[in-house]
Amino acid sequence: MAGFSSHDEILDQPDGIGSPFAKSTVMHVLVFAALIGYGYVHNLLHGSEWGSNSFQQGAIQATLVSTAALPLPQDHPPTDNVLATETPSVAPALEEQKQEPLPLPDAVPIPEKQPPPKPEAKPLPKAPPQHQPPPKPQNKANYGEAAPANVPRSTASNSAANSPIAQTGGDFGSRFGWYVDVIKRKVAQDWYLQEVDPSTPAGATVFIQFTVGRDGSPGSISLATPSSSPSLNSSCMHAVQRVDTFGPLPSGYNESSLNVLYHCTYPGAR
Amino acid sequence: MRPRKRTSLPHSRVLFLIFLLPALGCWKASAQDWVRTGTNLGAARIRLAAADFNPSSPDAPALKTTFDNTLYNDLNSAGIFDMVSKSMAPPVMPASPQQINLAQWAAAPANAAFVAFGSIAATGGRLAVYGWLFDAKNPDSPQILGKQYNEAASQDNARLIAHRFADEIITRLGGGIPGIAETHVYYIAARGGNKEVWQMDYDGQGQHPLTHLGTISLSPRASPDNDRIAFASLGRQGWSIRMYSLVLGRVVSFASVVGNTLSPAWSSDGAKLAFSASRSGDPEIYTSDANGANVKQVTTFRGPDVSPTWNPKTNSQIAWCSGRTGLPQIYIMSSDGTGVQRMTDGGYATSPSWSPNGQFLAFAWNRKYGPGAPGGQDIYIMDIASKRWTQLTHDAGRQDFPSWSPDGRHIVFQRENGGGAEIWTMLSDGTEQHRLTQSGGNSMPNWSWK
Repeated sequence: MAGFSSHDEILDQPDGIGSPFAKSTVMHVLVFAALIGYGYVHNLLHGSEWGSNSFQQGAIQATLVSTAALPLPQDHPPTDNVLATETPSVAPALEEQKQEPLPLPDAVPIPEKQPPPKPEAKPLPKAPPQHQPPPKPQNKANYGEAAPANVPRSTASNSAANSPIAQTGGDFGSRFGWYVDVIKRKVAQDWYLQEVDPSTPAGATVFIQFTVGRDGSPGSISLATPSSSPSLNSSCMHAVQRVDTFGPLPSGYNESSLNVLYHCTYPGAR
Repeated sequence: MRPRKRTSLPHSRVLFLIFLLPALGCWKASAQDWVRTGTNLGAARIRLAAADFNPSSPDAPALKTTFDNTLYNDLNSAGIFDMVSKSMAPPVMPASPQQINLAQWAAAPANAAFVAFGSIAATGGRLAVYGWLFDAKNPDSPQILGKQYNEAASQDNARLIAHRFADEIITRLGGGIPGIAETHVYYIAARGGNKEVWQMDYDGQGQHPLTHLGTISLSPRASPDNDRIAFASLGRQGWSIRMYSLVLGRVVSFASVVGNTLSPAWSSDGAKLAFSASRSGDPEIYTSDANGANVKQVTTFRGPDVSPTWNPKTNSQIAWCSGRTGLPQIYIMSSDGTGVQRMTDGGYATSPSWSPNGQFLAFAWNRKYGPGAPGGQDIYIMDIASKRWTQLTHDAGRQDFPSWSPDGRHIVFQRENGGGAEIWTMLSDGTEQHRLTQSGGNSMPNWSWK
């Protein structure tokens, strides 16, 4: 029975779960706080090594509208017009509203306005005969400096039988058209359309004047005829300024430099 | 040949001309021709035909095929020409200006604006090539270029002469920018557990090793005078910069700074080197003279600073890759360390390369970096002034280590797509991508300066 009485005493004792539970809770809180604290301190010490992807402002997120600055030709200039898509819309097309037929143009007769009767033309009196003075005889010879003719004025034989005859005194554009193309192409490549104010009307044209030295470097760049858009004027100037060289002038061209009048025509905002 | 005209002047006119001489002198001084031209939209590519060269000796055909193919490929990959395909070209081989019928080339279907043609002869162990470039639209004054080459007869020299003639044409029609047909690409090839510096032509031909150090070498950089290659190599003291002389054909001494020294970069005048060194365990950017003397520390940021590259236009700025804010980003600064400017706004950006005209940076960028993030590492170029960028490669594996060609029209880079890394090239607008190496691990390409 003693065993039963002791068992009863044990059963009669109050449950000790409250205190361990509280201790356990406090321990959990402490462990949790320690973890958070460790993470904070570790981040303070090592947070900015490789591995975090912190975002900072500082660069512009925008794709190039044009890669015009590359020394490559642009066959098809890119467009950023979101409306210019080749994908047809998935929305069904709107039904066309029926319109009442318009009345025929001759449904209501319009009276024509009668022109006033013309007065009969009276015959003009005959003009008195006028005597013209006889032309003065031109006895003076017309000589003096004339404008240079636009044709090759002198030819020189070339010792190399296989090469064509060198011509001097002709028009640069007709003799060295390929070099004119080089000038056009290089400035066009360096002309950034995004520098031009989009409100500039399409077709606005600026004329730039510059010289090309024998080594091909541009110089004396100036505005010949400005357009109404200052941004177009400056963009065309910058295009020429960006060119380091057009390549040496052709060896058949004997002058020290070449004058160029270059126009930039704005094609309109795209 | 036209007859020469001679006229005699009467005495009165001679006196008149004597008085006029000073005035004529003034007029002559400003007598340059005028050219009027302009643009409103871009510029189209130049339509160019490369005729097969006329073999004028019995031994020439073997070399002629090499010459013709090399010339056509060089012009086709220049990036500025719209080449007339061989099937569209007239089936003739004009050997001299007297034999060419320009109207035949200017008409459809060739529609050529310019024609390159000539003859090739191999006699007495010598290879003689005569080449011309004619303007097909200007029959009155067609010649633009006439060149003559003479080398020992060999396949290599046939390719060399074709490269030179192509470069002449590209320089003339490309507006003074020299062609790249004679340039080289230096790269790292992994063979037998080692990584050595190798060299190849710009078109992938002639691949051969330069160094035989039996260790791991990285980031080769050719000097602007094409005399030396600077590269990082693993030795007993850790990583150090070493110098290989292309003239002597061996590694030459270089006073590398103590500590792990990596990623050398030449200034365009060849007088300075920039590199990253980690004396204290944190890699920083340093500059030195070309012989390794006069070392100066440029950056002092906490976090790794690696991969410097000079602005070749001015040599007063350096772009580099920094981890000061976490993931590596591209920055630029003056060469004295001032004026730091961040260029990329996030992601994982590495390996900057400055374009020859100073306007662009090419770099490898993973814009959506992170676990499970979409997107891969691609090559981008950024306009430095406006910080606008454009993506050049898309969905083709992992790209890295872009390097500009000296004409600024091409970029060589490393691509890992499934197998090992290989070297690729493309135009700087991302088009016309070609593979240069075919097998083995090849990485870290660097385009020579000339």
